[in-house]
Amino acid sequence: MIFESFVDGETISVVLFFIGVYGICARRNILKSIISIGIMQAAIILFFLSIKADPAAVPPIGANIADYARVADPVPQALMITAIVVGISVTALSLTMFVNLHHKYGSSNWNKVKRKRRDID
Amino acid sequence: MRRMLIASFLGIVAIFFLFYARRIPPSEPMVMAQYYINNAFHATGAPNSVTSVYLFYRYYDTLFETMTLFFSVVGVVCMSVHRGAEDNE
Amino acid sequence: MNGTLLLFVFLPIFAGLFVYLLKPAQNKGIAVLIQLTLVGLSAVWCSRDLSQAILVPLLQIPLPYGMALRIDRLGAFMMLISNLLFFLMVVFSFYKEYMTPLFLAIFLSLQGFINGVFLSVDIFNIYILVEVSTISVSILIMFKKDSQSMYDGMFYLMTNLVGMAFFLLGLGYLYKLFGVLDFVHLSKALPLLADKKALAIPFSLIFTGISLKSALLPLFSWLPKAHGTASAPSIVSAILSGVYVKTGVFLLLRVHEVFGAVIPLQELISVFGFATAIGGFVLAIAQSDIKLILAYHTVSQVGLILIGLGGGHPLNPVGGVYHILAHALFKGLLFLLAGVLIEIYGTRKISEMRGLWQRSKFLSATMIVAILSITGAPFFSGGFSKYFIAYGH
Repeated sequence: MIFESFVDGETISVVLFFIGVYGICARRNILKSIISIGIMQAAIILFFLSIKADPAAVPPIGANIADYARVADPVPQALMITAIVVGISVTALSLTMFVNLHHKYGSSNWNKVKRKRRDID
Repeated sequence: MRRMLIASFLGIVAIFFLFYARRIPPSEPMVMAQYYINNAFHATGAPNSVTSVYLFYRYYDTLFETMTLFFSVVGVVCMSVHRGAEDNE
Repeated sequence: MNGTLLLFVFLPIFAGLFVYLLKPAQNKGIAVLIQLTLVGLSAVWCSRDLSQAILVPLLQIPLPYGMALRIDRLGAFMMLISNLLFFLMVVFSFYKEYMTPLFLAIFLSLQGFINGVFLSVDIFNIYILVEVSTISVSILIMFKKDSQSMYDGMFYLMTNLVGMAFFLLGLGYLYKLFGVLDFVHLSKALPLLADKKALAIPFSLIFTGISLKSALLPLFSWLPKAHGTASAPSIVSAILSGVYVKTGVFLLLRVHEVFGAVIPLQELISVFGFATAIGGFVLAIAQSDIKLILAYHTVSQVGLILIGLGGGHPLNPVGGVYHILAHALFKGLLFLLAGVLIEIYGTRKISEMRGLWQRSKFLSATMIVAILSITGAPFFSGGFSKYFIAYGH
């Protein structure tokens, strides 16, 4: 079926990525922006892991993996460990900043916060 | 209304994106991957070659990743500490 | 000698950690000493013959598999600018009260990360370095934790995270296409690609991420907020405008080096440069806050640098790179002066600042030099770079 050939990791990750972009563009809630960035990062992780994904490939573990014809690629996996840690740290930082911002401004809406910011000047 | 416009615009962009992205073929010999699969175990002794890529071949990245974590912890602590009267508004 | 490249990255970071964890009494002295060392080292590197880029491997393994540091003429020049500006900033704020060990630690580490970007040859490594420097910059912006800087830092962090997410996705497509991640092998492999249209997606994603970093026209709204934050220390604004925006321009040049053989980038860079220069300039006139004027002016100067880099005459890119130096110097000076003026007058409105000549002759003379340089008067650094940019037009 032509539809099933489209359902792979790459297509789903692109769709997820654009859902994240939509969340950032259309939603005014700061918390939802943070969640959207999280969705974008998850999409990127899925995309990297589905580069040349092959159900028949063996995992790259063991002394004699060079003998197999198809071995999963270790590089994106290692890169994504790094990207996951970076994602966690930026999410933690932005959530803490959001808590602080909410204390100062009493709102979690970008527009209201921006208006109050302008009133301070 | 605004959300519908944004959604339809992004939908069109996503369709074009997918159309172009499906033209991208994966490179045939995966240069780095093949090297690691052939040599990682003998060079590092780690059975999992993801480990050897993460901690040996690309250790410079891992170092800065750790630093990202460190600085975000510094930031979280710095943001969370309230001292003095000026913060009790 | 080649081993000293690692010092550029790790000496400031370790010094920052040392200062933060042990809190020695002479912490500012240590910082000045380290800055002097780095300035000297980068001057030595700048004076060497770097017409061939020097690769310093970090492992005994050749490049596409291992990792390396690379220095070429542009990188050495940028490092000289950045280290010089950091040295001057540390000297300027020697007796300021915000120079706590924590501030000093983050500030010095930021220097290490920026040097790392200039030395890096691996595209994923650049992603990590830019991400960690984004985090440390947002902590520096919010260092005083008042309401204004909280909003500005939050906005800065979120926009840059989105930009770097685009960059990372583009990087993934590049890896899928070529299977390598370093610039040397990417620029070799790119012209051999059969289907050139496949490059459209990775190029547009990476260009989006980088143009957000370097504040090109539609994507610059974070810059005035981050650089013009009222309560951030003026040395932070000076570093952000003088050096940190230039990492975006530097990455643009690296992308040009990789993609330039296949995608004609000159016109694109020129068009974006013109739009950014005019837009930033128009918005700068509309402001009344002194720091915001300078911040919007940074946007227009980035556009001017790009006009130079995209120019047709061989001297125009030279002018663009020269303008990076000139802009770093005069914008750093002007931000420091703006900080001093805000302290003296207690206001940020430029219309309420008058009578500086009666208060301090020295400050006024410095201000006149900075203003002459920023307008591109003859015999000032801003003037020479603008001649080069306009040459042949």
